[in-house]
Parts: sequence; C-alpha cells; structure tokens
Amino acid sequence: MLNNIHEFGQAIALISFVIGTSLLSLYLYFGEGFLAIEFAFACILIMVIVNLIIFIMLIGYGIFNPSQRIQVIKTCFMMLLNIPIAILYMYMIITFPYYNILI
Amino acid sequence: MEQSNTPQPNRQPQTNKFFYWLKNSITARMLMVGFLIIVLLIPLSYINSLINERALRQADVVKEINEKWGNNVVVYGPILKLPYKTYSETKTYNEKTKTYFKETETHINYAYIFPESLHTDANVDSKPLKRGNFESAVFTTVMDFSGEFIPANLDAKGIKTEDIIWDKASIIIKTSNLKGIRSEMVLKMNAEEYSFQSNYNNNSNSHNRLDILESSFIKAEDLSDDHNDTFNIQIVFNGTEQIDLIPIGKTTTMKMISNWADPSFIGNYLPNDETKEISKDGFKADWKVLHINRAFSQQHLNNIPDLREFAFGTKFMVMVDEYQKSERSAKYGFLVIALTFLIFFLIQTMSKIQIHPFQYLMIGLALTMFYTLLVSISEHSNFLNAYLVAGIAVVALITLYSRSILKSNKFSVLIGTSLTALYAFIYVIIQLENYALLVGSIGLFIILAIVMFVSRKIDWSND
Repeated sequence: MLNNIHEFGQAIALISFVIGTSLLSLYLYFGEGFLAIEFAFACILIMVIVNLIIFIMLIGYGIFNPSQRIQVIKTCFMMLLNIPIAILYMYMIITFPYYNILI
Repeated sequence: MEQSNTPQPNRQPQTNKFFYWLKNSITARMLMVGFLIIVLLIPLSYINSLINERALRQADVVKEINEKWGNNVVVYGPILKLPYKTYSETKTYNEKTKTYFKETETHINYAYIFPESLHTDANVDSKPLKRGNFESAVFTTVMDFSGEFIPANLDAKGIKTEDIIWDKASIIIKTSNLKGIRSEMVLKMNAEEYSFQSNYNNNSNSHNRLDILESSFIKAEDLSDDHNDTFNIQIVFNGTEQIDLIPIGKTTTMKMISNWADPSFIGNYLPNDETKEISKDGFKADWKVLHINRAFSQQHLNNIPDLREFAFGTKFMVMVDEYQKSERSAKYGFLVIALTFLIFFLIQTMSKIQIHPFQYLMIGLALTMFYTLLVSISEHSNFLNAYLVAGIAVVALITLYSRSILKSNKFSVLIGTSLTALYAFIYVIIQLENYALLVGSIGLFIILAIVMFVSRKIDWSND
C-alpha cells in the first residue's frame, strides 16, 4: 500500500482537480438551478478532507523513508497545486458576470 | 544510481499503473475528452455572459434613444370637462337666540363626458435611429381625431342643468408622450379654435402616468344648446414601441397606415380581419369598438377613471435581433464542441494517431472563439455575414491545425467538411422557428447513425 502512496496521492490530486473543475464548469454554465452551491461546497469539503489525510500520510511516509523524500515532495507539490487552482475558481465564481440571471 | 543496479523490468507500468491506464485506455481517453468538453463550458459561460452583457447594453442605448425621441403613445381623449355646483347645508343651533342658523356651502365638482363618436386616423412613418453600433426603430405619427359630443345632460347623475357652469368647460386629452408632441395642438370645435396647455400631474411618481393637456374654456353657447358639438384635432407625435388608443367614444373607430412591415396588434380589440393588409412595404388596419364592447359609461363624476386596460393599438415590434441569434447559436456550443471532439476521438481510435489533450484543448478553444467572432462581427454587419466570416475562419483554422496534427489530407478534409455541415445545420436550426425541433431531431438522428456506422468496428476491449 505504502509503495503506491505516490501514485495514490497523484491520482487523488488529479481526481480532485477534475471534480473541482467539472463543478465549476457546470455551475457557471447551467447556474445554481442545475447545481446547488451547497452540493458543490459539500463535495469540496470531502475532497479537502481526503486530500489532507493523504497529504499527512505522505508527509509521514517521507519522514520515515528518506530515500523517497524527493518523490514525496513532488507528490505533495502536485497536491498543493490544487490550492491556488481552488482560489482561482473561487475568484471566478465571485466575479462571474451573471447577466444571464439578470435577464 | 542505486535503482539502476537493481533490474526491475515491469516497474514503470506497475508504479504508474493509473497514469499508464490514462495514456493507453480507450475508456480513459473518452473520459479525458469528456472532461475537456466540460472544461470548455467555462469559456462558453463567459461568452454567454458577454452576449447578454452586450444585449443589455443595447437595451440601455435603445431605451436612451427612445426616451429622447419620445415614449410609447397612449391617447386618452378628448374628454369634455364640465364643472358643476353642488350644495351642502350645515345647521348650527344658537343658544342665545334659541334658533337654528342654516349655512349653505357651494362646491365645485367636475363631470367628465366622453364623446358620442370618436374617429382616429393615424399615419405612422417609422425609421431606424442609430447611435454607435446600436439601432432603435422610432416613428412619427400624425393622428387626426374627429367626432362629436352630444348635448350634455347630467340629470341621470342628479345634476341639474342650471348647476352646470357652461362657461368654464374645457376639453382634456391625456397622453403618455407629452415630450414627443411635435406640433402645436389646436382644437376645432364647431367653428371655434382652442389652444391647449399642459397641466401639472401630481402623480409624477408613477412610471406609467398619463399627462394631461387641457384646452382653454369652450364657448358656453356652443355647449349649452341642443346641437351636437363636432370637434377635430391633429396631434403629431414622435414615439417608439407602440401606439394605443382608449376607445372612449360610444362608437370608436381607428384607421392606421404605416410603412412598418412587422406590426403586432395589441390590446383588447383586434383590427378588422377583412380590411387588414400587411406587406413588406407596410400595413393598413382599422378598428371599430362599440360602447357595448367595453364596460364603462360615457359620463364620470369627480375623476377620470384609469381605462388603460381597454386600450388597443399596434406594437411596432423589432424582429429577433443579432444578439438573440448569437445567444441562440451559443446555446448549441456544447453540441458543436462535443460532436467535433467525437470526430477527432473516432479518428484517433481508428487510425491510432495520438492526439494530445493540449491539442484537443486548442481545437475546443478555436470552437469557442467562433462565438466571440460572431458577436463582434454581427455588431458591424448582419448576422448571416458574421456567421459566414466567423464560420469560415474557425473551420479553416481547425482544418489546417488538424492537417498538421493528423498528418493526413484525408482526415483534415473530413474534419473541414464535417464542421461546415455542423455549422450549416446549426444556422438552419437558428433560422427556423416552427421546424427547428423537427430539423434538429432529424439532424441529430442522422449524426447518431453516422457515428454508430463509423464506430462499429472499433475494438472497445482495449482497456
């Protein structure tokens, strides 16, 4: 299990990115009538918790396996990359011009 | 260095099994294409917003043009305003003299009398008015009102003829468009001429208020005799959107002639179907409303009732504008991207040519660019030209790009032809109104049949 933790971490990071981007796209395109914002936040919360658990496991794995530290750092970096992406998505939702809703 | 000394022949596929699956499986490729289609909804959302924002801006500019040119035209009148006296008595008991003191107070009230007949001739000359990129349809209408009042008799309302103040009577016309009046208004009643002045309307908070125009006092001898009083008045309005008349005559007729090709007849009463003519050069219509067709009487005391619910007339409808068409075509953006990606996916799967997600993304972005090109060009040209220019640009770009990534003339021609057919199909759907659903359904059925036929030999088990 621990031998595959890099792969698992990277897969979780990728899946989180895919789910987050899909939620953003669907929310922007179809509006809240199609995708409730509460549902989107619940999904994000679950992803944050799962990512945090994997991240902590990776840190622990890196501490106890010095030879794998570079790979652990790479995987952690991939996971952390989702944070600025999430901030960007949040900014897009806040600043999105909802003219279609106004009309 | 340490790893190179230890032979591990299957390490790469084992350690990166997930990513190996992502790169080589047809299912993973399908998921990736699906994800990219969803990602491209983001630029499509922004394009939809852009179209709506431009449409809102157009609406603002049109509203501004309309406000300056003149509002919609509602005419409510002419109404004869007759003042009359009423009396009230108060009795006061005097303690000292032990008698009652009777005091009679005289009040002035007004009766509003509608004409026996009202004939309106409206000649409407419409024209486009431009401001920047935006255009509004405005009109100038010459309205001739004629008819007659029968001798006023308020006995039925409990008002004696001797209580009517004949020399203070006037004619009132209410309208929504004081600002748009373009000629001096002169009322001809019997042989006399009377001018109008506007009255301050204290109900100024109301957006839909009707302003009041009141004539000078009508010659008392004309009104108090037993003859009908004929009137005639011409008003020239600059207006926009619609012309409405409230049928206050016991018999109300209206004839309207215009060079406007797309009228929409509105209100409670439709024009005579046998005499109505609509052509590309304009329209002719006439209405006739009798007093039994509407639920109000010819005489009203103390105030003029709001009878706009009985109005009828014509709306000078602006046909579907460029932004509406762009918005409708952008709604098919999802379909265009999905079908284009499907073509590339089928080519990739059948020919084993690798197409990188970045290349899919570039193709998708080119497809979304079509809509920004369409909106921006349609602001300066008509929709067909804009659609042609944007379509040719995008189809050419994707065809050339696909030739370089697929390295095959055959496939790039296939893609060019498919995209041309797809955009032509979408254009036809946008233009059709009654048959859009039928043509759309048949088109999608044919596309599905082609996809099923082409994909029948793909080995889907390569997971």
